[in-house]
Amino acid sequence: MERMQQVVGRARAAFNSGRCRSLEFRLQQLKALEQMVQEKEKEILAAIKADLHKCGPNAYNHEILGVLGELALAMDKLPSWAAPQPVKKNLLTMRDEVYVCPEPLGVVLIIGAWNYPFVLVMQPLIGAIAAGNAVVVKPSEISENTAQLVADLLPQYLDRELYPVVTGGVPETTALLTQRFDHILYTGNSTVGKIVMAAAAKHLTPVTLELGGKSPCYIDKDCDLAVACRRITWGKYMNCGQTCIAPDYILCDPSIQSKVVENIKATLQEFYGEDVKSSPDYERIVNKRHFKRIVGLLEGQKIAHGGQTDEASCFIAPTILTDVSPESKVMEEEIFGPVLPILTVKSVDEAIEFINRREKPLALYVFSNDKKLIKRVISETSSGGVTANDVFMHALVPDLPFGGVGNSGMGAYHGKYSFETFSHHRACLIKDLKMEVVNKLRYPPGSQKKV
Amino acid sequence: NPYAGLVSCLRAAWLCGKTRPMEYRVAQLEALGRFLDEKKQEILEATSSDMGKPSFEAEFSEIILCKSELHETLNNLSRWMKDEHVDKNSVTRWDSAFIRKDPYGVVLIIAPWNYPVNLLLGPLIGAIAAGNCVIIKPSEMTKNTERLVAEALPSYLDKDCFAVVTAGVQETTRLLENKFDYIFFTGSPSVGRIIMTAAAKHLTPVTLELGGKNPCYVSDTCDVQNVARRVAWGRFFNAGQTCIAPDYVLCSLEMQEKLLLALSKTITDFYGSNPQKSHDFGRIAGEKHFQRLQELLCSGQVVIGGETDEAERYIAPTVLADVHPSDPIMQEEIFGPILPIVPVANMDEAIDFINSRERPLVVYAFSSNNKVVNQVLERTSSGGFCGNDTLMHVTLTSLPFGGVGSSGLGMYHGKFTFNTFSHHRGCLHRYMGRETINALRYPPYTQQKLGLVRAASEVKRKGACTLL
Repeated sequence: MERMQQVVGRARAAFNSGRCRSLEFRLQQLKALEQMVQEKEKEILAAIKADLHKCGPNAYNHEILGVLGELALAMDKLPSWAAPQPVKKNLLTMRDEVYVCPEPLGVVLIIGAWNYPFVLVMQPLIGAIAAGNAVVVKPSEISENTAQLVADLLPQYLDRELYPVVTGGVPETTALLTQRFDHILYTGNSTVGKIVMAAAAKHLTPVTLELGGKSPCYIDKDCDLAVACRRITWGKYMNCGQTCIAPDYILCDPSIQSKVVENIKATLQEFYGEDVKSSPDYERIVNKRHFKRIVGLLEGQKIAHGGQTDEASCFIAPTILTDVSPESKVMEEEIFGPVLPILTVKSVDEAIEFINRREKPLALYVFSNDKKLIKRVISETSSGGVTANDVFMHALVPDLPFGGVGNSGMGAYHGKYSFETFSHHRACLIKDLKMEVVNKLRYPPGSQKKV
Repeated sequence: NPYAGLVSCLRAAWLCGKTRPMEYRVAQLEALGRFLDEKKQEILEATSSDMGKPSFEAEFSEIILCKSELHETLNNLSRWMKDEHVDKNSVTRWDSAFIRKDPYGVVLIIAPWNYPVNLLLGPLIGAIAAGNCVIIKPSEMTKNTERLVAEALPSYLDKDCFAVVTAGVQETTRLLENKFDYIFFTGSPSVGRIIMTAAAKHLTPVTLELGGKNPCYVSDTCDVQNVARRVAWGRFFNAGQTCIAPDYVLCSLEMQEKLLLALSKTITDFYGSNPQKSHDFGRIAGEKHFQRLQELLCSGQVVIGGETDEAERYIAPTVLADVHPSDPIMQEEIFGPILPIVPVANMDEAIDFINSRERPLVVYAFSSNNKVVNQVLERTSSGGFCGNDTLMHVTLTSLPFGGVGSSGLGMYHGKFTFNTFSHHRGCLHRYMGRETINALRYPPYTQQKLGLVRAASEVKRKGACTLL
């Protein structure tokens, strides 16, 4: 507790010194981060491999490329993001200066997750630094190699007092959450999300919660099944299903269920070969606890493909379940693993109703050649984000806000939304001390004429 | 759970999609406009009974400002509702990327007692505009206005989708046990904490419009009489019961002398020699607050005013001089017609003073020297800032209105209210063809594929940044 007080206290004193406010300073820190990512690429990929059994090209693609892109964007746009924005004036303020000024919030806390352990710490950090804040970084202890690496590297490249890294598990995070922050960005599950928000409420700290849920994937009869299934397979089994926006389950007409299975099977073969276990491109479940949890979901299910597991290496083969019942265990929680249940629905109406009966998901996917149907699914449901005719990709468009709604989260970030999330938008009106005659209308004594 | 039935009724109405079409929202908003027109007299009478609100103030703050928001919303609703298409730099030109503004669902608005109509209708306008169903909880402190809202408002709005709940502290606690899709609260920081804690149980996002002590720095170079008028107006409007009222003045001893003279003249100009008889000066809204304010009068020296009348809950427009930072009146938001002056040596001391306290809803600075105004702006933090006037920044619907730190989180007014009550959903509608482009991302992964991906998607720095 005392240690946390010291760390946060030092960060606050450093923030109050004012040194992180100038654009030059922020750009310098972002440039240093860029240098770190470029110089330590090998170490970063090695840590991710140790944590998630993720191969080089895959890890580079998911974790490094995105970070470099965000850094380049932030460094490029920072002057325009940070500039005061003039707004429309009315008759009474015609001669005044009226604008919104983005300002840093102060000391912010970023709590990372284990599934994309580097990018989920770095991407928020980039926005927080760009917005001029001091940042306490708390990487997930479950991806311990990446956590340790981040703790070692950040102090080597960034201002040590302004951007401390705190490592540890539940007790350390709990202690950290008793401290006062000016914003908390948490990535993880809804249960802990509630704990974070309750802790934040004590200090009236605004929060951004990037949570999860069961992201549905509706496949219409009228669509190119081969393409749809290839895209779904890519998204579902990437990172061994441990992606917050992975298509969690499929909804489709019973008449195409077996075709869907066939297509996914064929794609799996293309991607990972005959023996998935020996493919360098297929990851592992992060730890035994999650392994056991996911294996438990298979109980009593009709396994149409896969189902092989190996506890020693936390390996679960890409698995497809068919004719899944909505009440089964696999449909109760976010799967976060390489298990894809298929549920049959007789129409898009039934699919929409099914989706709306459940908690709002982080992502929603719909595959169809029928533009009207897609429009309808989007309009009649709610979710954090949507990609139609593909998966994930909305999260990669820099100008789209990325976040959840309802149980899947609150707030958004990525690109300029990260900058806005970590800024206070201060309304400013600067008037003249002269021109008092205009004001006379509002002073008492009042009368109907004046009104 | 006494309110579970009501909430689930509204949720059922929400799921039917009734509130989504623009025509529906416009109809409800126009009905709100009719409420303000047809019930204007009743609103003026209710606020007068509840807190002696002068009809000029009531008409300006509760009717005119609300109608401004309403018209701004009706004029712009179709534009605000449209999908916002974004730059498609990392998707193909056959795709469509846009932000869809989705309603949240069933939202709760809890209004305070000081501007009981404005601070209820303001958020309500945005909540309806954004397509939500709404439970409205007016303040139980201002009984006449609460009754007016509970009896009259439902007859203007669709009862399936909008409900007014009258509730005291106990009932509100029970109300908060239900799951809402958004909660908008205006009130004190201590209750704000309770609201956010309750919201956390359901992961409900919130906007909290709270308060604090709004400092008002007056530099030595200024037109004292104009300053006195603008500060007095802001302080004594609604008998000081305004979240953005200048709470206390920071100035030099020399300026204090000048200000006291100017304020004395201004108060007489505004309210006459006996403000208790003026039709333009309000009363304190409740006995508890009256007592609280009476006790604060012992701070510093009463130079102007200081008279009270418990029967009317009247506290005279009062100015206290030579107030010390440790005095009782400097320990809480005043929310009454008392203006303490705290002498400071210079602007730097004033800024340090402001920064050593919780961030307020607004910082005010008065000076004929623009540099001074800008210094105070740049070196402090607050919800909003107004140079050389008070209150006026919130009359502009183009400026976001909200706090920071303990003065609040989130913001509203104009399109910001619409945005507050909408979920901004990132949507990408991809083309099913051109699958070969996607091939680069699929396993098996090779260094070659990676090279191509890197080349295709890397965001390159545009030239050199001149700041470096």
